[in-house]
Amino acid sequence: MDFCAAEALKLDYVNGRLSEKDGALFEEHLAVCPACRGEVLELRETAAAMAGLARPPVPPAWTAAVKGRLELKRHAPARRRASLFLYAAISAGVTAAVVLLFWLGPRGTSDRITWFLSLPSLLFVPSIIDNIYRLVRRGVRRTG
Amino acid sequence: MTKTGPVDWDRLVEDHQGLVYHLIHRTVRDREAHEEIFQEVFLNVLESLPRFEGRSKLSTWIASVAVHTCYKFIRKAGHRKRAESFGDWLEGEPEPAVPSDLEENLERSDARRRLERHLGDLAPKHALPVALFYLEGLSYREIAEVLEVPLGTVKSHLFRGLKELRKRVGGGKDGFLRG
Repeated sequence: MDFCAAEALKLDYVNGRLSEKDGALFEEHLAVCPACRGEVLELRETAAAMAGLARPPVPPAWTAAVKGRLELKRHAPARRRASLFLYAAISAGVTAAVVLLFWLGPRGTSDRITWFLSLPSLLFVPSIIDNIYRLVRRGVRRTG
Repeated sequence: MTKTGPVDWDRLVEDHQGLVYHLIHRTVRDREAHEEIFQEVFLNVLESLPRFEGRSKLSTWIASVAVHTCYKFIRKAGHRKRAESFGDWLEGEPEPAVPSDLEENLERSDARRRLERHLGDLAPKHALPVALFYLEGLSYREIAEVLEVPLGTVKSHLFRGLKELRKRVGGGKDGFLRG
């Protein structure tokens, strides 16, 4: 084996990852090869110096910030579902109220015309739903 | 909840934030962006954790998410060619540094600062294996998993990374390594 060209072997030796048998073989080579001896010594010194370095400390505020964002994100699907349910409930309620109003309203011919003319007012229904939804959400937030 | 059981997120952040920040610190030179990437890594972990099957250590998997998030940030920031793959990025030169006062840490010795600086000047393919092995204690196999390269490549990059550091920092009687 060409020990001088065996980079992985030298690295394993420096990092203490060689088997006893391979280590002994390599040390036999080191005893007669000053170039490899010097190289291993340098690698060992550099590795030791590396081990003396420390991780950069995490800025303390970042921990709280990331925990907060994770908390928000984790509960986002449940919040979205709750909002959707609330919106659907309000829409159903308002629609039912509008239908009921027209259903129970006067039934004469002139009243029918009035009813027909009042149809454009249905355009305001989505906005009514939106406003009720916002009011309810605001109320929930205050009580929460 | 994951395939390996429920998750204590506060604990997960506390246990892995050091590793994540370290990898960001080694990979992205724009310090202004570090906090954003730090948060992005954990949000990516939250999103991907249900798919984590526990075949590797959680820390190895989080390291992999962190490295990929850094890579995506660098691509998005336009420091690199758009078509550059993860592998090409690893092989490339380090990002240009953004000047910052935060660089200075008076408590650190000059020798450490030099070693830190030279480690930062290495290409990701050399800097990451060196940092992951000597500072984070990952095995060769775990580093191979994080960087998606063969085991032999990890060893080769680790060897060359150490050699390159030695060359840049200097040794000998007056070199800091013996000082």
